[in-house]
Amino acid sequence: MNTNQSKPSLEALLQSKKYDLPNDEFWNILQDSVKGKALASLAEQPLSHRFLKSSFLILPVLLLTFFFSSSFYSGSSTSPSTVLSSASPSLITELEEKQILHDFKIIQDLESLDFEYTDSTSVAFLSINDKSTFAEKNLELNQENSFEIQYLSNFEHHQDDLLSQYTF
Amino acid sequence: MFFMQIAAKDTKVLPKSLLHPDEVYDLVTLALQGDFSAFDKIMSLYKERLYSVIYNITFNHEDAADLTQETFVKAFRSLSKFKRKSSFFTWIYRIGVNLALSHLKKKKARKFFSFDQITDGVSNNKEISNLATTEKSSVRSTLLNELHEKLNEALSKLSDKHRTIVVLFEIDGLSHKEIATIMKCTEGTVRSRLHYAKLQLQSLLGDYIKN
Repeated sequence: MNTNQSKPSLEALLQSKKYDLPNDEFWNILQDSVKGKALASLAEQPLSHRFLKSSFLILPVLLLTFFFSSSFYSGSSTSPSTVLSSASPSLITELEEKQILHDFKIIQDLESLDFEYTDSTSVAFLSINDKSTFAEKNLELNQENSFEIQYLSNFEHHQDDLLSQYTF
Repeated sequence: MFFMQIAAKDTKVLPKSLLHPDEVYDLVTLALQGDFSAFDKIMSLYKERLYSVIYNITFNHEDAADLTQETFVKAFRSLSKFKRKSSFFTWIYRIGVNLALSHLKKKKARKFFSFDQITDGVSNNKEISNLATTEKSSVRSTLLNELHEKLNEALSKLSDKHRTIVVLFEIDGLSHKEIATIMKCTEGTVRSRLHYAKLQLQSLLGDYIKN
């Protein structure tokens, strides 16, 4: 080691490290341990599988929630055909679809009617101006001989007297 | 002379693989089909070399044992991802080297990496250390022990990547091309890193090795 000749080269010294290996017992323990871990890893599902499995359960719930929330917030402005087309065909039968469309038509007809409320002195006036509809009514309370006017005027005139009867 | 003898018979110590690549592929196919004995054979082929590489990167027998196990388990779980573009040993080496390097990164983040800690780590784990020490190799002398300690000390002063390349090339005997595949860099990078690392080792071990 004192002279340069007795010293090893860097390469020889590095290659001698190949002998720095464990004994047979160590390899047996290592191999058994790997075997156990590898077999255990077969039993446990990978994270991606777990995610996929849970998404299969969550996805229909999310879709249904989205469907119902979108149909709820769209309100009456949503066309029934749009709602029906977005729904699953298996969920609504043809008969139910016809019934829904019929109901919706009635609601639309009612919405298209103009209602006027005129509040004048002791007169309540309700008119349905759509001449094409089957219902056209005028309700007027300005007829002097009507029962309502007479009853109310009587009530007005004799109220004080009625109250005074019970005043001590 | 003693070191020359060691260097002369080194190829018999850690054979690259006793099987033809096609035979290894067959074993992989069998393992994929659920034949665990095939995977056992694959393990027997590479365990010593893999352990040696990981130990010389981490300098800790316990860590090397854990990382070798982790490498095989990871390889077993990802066998289906192995495409026959590269050799199987390159593929499994890449897993092992990456695990070892990321382990060192984590270790450095926890504590500053120093040679004292490495030697402490080894001596504190007597069971592992006893198992890992080659009692059977009577040729191992006190002189060799001392030189190995100095070499380990010098290697630990290199960067992780430089050390890995030295270990793969000089200790494990891989080619530049194989190292480039494992380290995901060019052959030129491997050559330059190896040259720089050896220069550094020469200067660190100046009194103990030939000039």
